[in-house]
This record gives sequence, structure tokens and C-alpha cells, in this order.
Amino acid sequence: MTITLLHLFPEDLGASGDSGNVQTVAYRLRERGFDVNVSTYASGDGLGEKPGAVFIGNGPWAAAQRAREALAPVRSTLHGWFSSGVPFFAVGAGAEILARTITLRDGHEIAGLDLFPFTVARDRDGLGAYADCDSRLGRIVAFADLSSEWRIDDTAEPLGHGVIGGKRVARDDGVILASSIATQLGGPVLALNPHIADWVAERIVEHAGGAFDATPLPTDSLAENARAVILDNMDQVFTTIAL
Amino acid sequence: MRQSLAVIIGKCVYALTKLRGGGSAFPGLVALRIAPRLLQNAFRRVPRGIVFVLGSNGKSTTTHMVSQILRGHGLKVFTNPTGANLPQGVASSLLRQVGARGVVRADIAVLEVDEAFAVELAEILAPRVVLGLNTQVDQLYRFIDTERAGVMMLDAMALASEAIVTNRDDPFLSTVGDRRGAKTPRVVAFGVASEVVAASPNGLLNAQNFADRSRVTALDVVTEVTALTDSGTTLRTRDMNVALSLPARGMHYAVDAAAAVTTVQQVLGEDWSADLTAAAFAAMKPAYGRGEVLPFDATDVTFVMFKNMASLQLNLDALPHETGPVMVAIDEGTPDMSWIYDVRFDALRHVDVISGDKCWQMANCLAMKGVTFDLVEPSVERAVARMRELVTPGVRQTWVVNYEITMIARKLIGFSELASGS
Repeated sequence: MTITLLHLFPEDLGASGDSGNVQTVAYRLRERGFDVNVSTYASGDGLGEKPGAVFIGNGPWAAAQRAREALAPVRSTLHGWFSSGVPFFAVGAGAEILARTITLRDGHEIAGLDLFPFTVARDRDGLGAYADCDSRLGRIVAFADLSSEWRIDDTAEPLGHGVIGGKRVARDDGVILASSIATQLGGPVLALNPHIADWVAERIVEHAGGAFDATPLPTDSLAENARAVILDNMDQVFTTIAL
Repeated sequence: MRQSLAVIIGKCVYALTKLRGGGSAFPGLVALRIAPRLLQNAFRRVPRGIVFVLGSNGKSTTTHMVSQILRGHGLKVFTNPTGANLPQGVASSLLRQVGARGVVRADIAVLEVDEAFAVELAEILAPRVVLGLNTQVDQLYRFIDTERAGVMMLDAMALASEAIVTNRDDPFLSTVGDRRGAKTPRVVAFGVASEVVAASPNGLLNAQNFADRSRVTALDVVTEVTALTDSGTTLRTRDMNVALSLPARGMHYAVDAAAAVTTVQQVLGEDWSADLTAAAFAAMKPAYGRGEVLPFDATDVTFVMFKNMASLQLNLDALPHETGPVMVAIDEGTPDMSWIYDVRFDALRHVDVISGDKCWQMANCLAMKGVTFDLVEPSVERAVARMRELVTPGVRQTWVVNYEITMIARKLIGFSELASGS
């Protein structure tokens, strides 16, 4: 079985090591015997055939805004894929353009592509910190870039609940909807958390009509040790330059 | 009076921190508390003024180049050591180099300055020439958005009293001409010839300017990198081809050299000499950790220091074909290393030892990229011991390390002196 992973705007939206999320899922699928193609989409390209999964990453708001404009004409195609069960994995600003609305710092509200059930307020200084979350998919240890506040619909399910950084600020992260995830966690989060990557990979294979063997891989101990180091250093406070 | 008191107390604090084996910005912080105008007073009488060097990558190397070229022209230069680029860091370096009156006795000062403090320091010190090297994706845990770092540098560059030296190929810094306010310093640029960029595996790696992508500002390009060789570069400047040897390998060092030469020309005007510049480069050693080669038992080791995606990629692209035994090490000095997945490791197909607190993240990434490795060892001390076992006389090793591990590893092989800008 050949699976195509479509990575939207890899050059412009990649500030959370987002290509690492794609590389991780591709690696884990290949290790389980699947053939994987990674295709990319940038402004002016055609979306192409329906892929096995769609990835979009974090980046500067100006880049996300451009991506939003470029995707607007193909919104109905994306909606069709999303509602037919193609897994989407979206991080940071790339996820925000897939939300309902985005309110900018100056109070101006713009429409998102309305795939995920949340709204965004980009009204705060950024904060970079380590994050430790519980989720129904397992514990998630990652790096968080909190440049905005996400408000998910009352009926929607957050991806996780956890603490951020040395001050242990408690907060929900992201949203999980059917086979898709939107999150503010970087790191990249899937490389650090192979169990979450396998959940995504399993949804991809399931959607393609195949069977997935989620037996851990030998490299998983590397990610486990990496998470342990992050947990040991949770108290590290990163000095972020205020706006 | 207050100035002298601050300097004397600061020097005492410096001596104490040195006794404890540390080198830090703390003495400078103490001195600035006592005399908030310490820096203004210290630099007021520097006859040829102050040069600032800004940029995401290459500040230390370029500051070193500018300083050495100026020294080659007979000037006495004050400069700050690598990394001491916040106000307290500049103050600490001041304490090490001035007398009790706290006045800098040099012909000119060349300071590398952190992006986030560049405007503050420019307002205090009124630099004559400001060089902007590049805007590359760096420390997003700190700046969140590269555009913010770019704008900080543009704002500081606009405060130059006499000349701005900018990078034609940088989508942010090349727009500096539009930033000038009341002051109207001249703007000159350096750049890299397109065929040189095309020959580089991953290009220049300057950050994209998403907010202002279509902006093209006419620039007076006075120096261009026209060729790269194994050990040097050729610059086209003032209607001459100037061949220079470089202190370390890589296109980025040629860019730094073009920036440094352009900056020195702005300072010296007609007194700039191509021959003296070439002689300065011929005698130049690499800046701390930047391609520095140090003896290690019966061989030696090249320190390839990295800070972010661009600096690691450009350094990997410049590695010689034969790297010898390789250590890669990274620690909490690089809090967010997610960008490691964007790096192409084609130049390193095998790593002998991966070390530092963040060794597991590095190993996880390299495993997925198909780079093989023999040992993952968080302790740098034990990792260096392993590299010692791998010493073959005459086979140079390559250690690819972040800043903090550069300091630790240098010390472990017997080079305990602090970073020095000269």
C-alpha cells in the first residue's frame, strides 16, 4: 500500500520543526511496511489527488495569512477531505487558519477555513516553554509556543490538559476531532511522542482501508529518554522578548 | 567619581568570579547598577567612534574580522568577546580592559550586539557605523517570530550616524533604506554573486520576509563574493578582485568577510588597503569555536559550533569530505531544537558519539534521517573520553557542538581560557 502525506506550505510554515512531524509519521509507516510519498503544496500549486493525510505547521502570522489566502479557493476540497475522514495534523499558526475565526492584536477578526471547531485570539506576547499534557492518547511532552489563545467549541474535545513551563500554568491544548488533531505543541511533538505519531499513522492506514501494527519501534527508547530530559528541565524558564 | 567606583567594584567582582572559574556578565551588571551611564562615559572619547555588528549568525566571526583588519591598518581596537553582547556583557568586557577611570583608550570600538538590545545600545552609544549581517531563523523560543528580530535590527541600523552596511541578499535587512528617520546615514551593501549561491547545497538560508516579500530596495552594492575556494574567497570591491584566505571553511565565512571589508571601508575611507586586509586575513585565527582547530592528544579536532538551523546547515555544507571521528553534542543552551528536522545531514552519514543533555532528541532525529551512530552519552566528559579512545594520530576529528558544549569540551581538552574577541 502506498500512502501520500500532503505537507502544506513546508517552507513557510515550519517553525515548530513541522517537517519533523511529517518525517516521523513517514518513518513509522515505512517501518511498518508501507510505501510513503511526501508531497508538498505551496501557493500556486494544485492540491492534487486526495492524500492519505494532510499536515500543516507553525510559522510567522504573515506566512500563515498568505497560506490562508492561497487555500481559500480550494477550501471546499479541503472540507471534503476533512469530512471524509482524511486525517489532518495541524500545528500553531497553520492550525489557526483552519479554525473558525482569528482575532488579531488590533481587534480585527478574520475568517478561518473553518475545519476545526475553535476560534483564535492572537492578542498576546509569545511564550516559549516546555509542556507536559495528559491526553486520552497518552501523556504528551513537548515544547509549546503560545502566541495565541484558542477557544474550542463547548462540544469539542481538547487534545490534552496539562501544564506549561516552569510556572506550571495549567491549560488545555488543542483539539481532537475524529481522525484529526490541531495543537499548539511543537518539539516536534510527534517525534518526541511516538505513541501520538502512531495514533495518527493508524488513522491514516485505517482510512486507506489497511491494518496497522502499532508494535513499538526500537528507536522509541530514544524519544522516551528525550521526554524524560524535558520533564527534568520543566522548570527552565525561557526569556521571551516582549512585544 | 561614580564611574571610577563602578569600575573598581566591578573589577573586584570580576576577579572574584574568575577565581570561582566563571566568566559572566555579572560584574558588568553590578557596575551598571552603580553607574547607569558607565557605557556612555567609557566610550565617549573613542576618537573614531563605535561600530556595531548585528545579525542572527556570524556576529562574533565578523566582529573579529573587522577588528583584525582595523588592527592591520594600525588602529588600536576595543572589542567585546564573543557572546558578551548584551549591555551587561559589554560592561563586563569593559571592566577587563579599562583603567580605574573607566575610559576606553582605543582608536575605535567594534561591538557585536544582541538583536534584542541593539536599539537600546545604539541610543546609548550612538554608533558611527552599523553592520547588519543577516536575519536567519534563530531562537524562536525567545523571539517567537523571526520578523521581530529583523525589525529590531532594522531599527538599530537606522540609528547609525554615518553609515549603514547591509546585506543585499537578506529580505529583511536589504530594506533598511526605507527605515531611516531623521538621521540619514549612507547605505552600502555587500552580497554574494548568484553563481556562488547556486553552487552552495542549501543556499544562503536567510529568512523570508513574509510581511514585505515584494519589496525591492535599490542598494549600492560595494562588495561582492565572486568565488569560493577550499581555503578562501575572492571579493570584488572598489574595482579590484581581492583574494582572501578565510579562518574557517564555508560560504558563510566569505559573506562575513565581505561584510567586514565593506564595514572597514566605511570607517577608513580612502585609507583602506586591500593588501593590509589580505595580510590581516592571512594571519587571522577563527573566532572561538567557529571552525577552530585545537590539538587533542595525538591529533587535533575541528570545533564546528552551531546555534540554529542556518548555522548548523551552513557549517555541515562546508565540512571536508573526510571528517574523521565525529561527535555531535547539544544541551539545554539550545532549549528548542525542533529545527533539527529541517537540517540536511548528507555531509554526516555516521556519527561516533552523540552527547549533551539533548543527545536523545538528536539521536532520535538522526535515526529517522538514516544517520548511523555508535554511542549516545549524555555526559560530555564521558563522550570526550570516548573520542579520546578513537584518536588516530594525524586523523583530525570533527566535533559539531552548540555554544555551551563548546565551552565544556574545550575545557576538557585543556583550553580553559574564556572566549576572547581578539
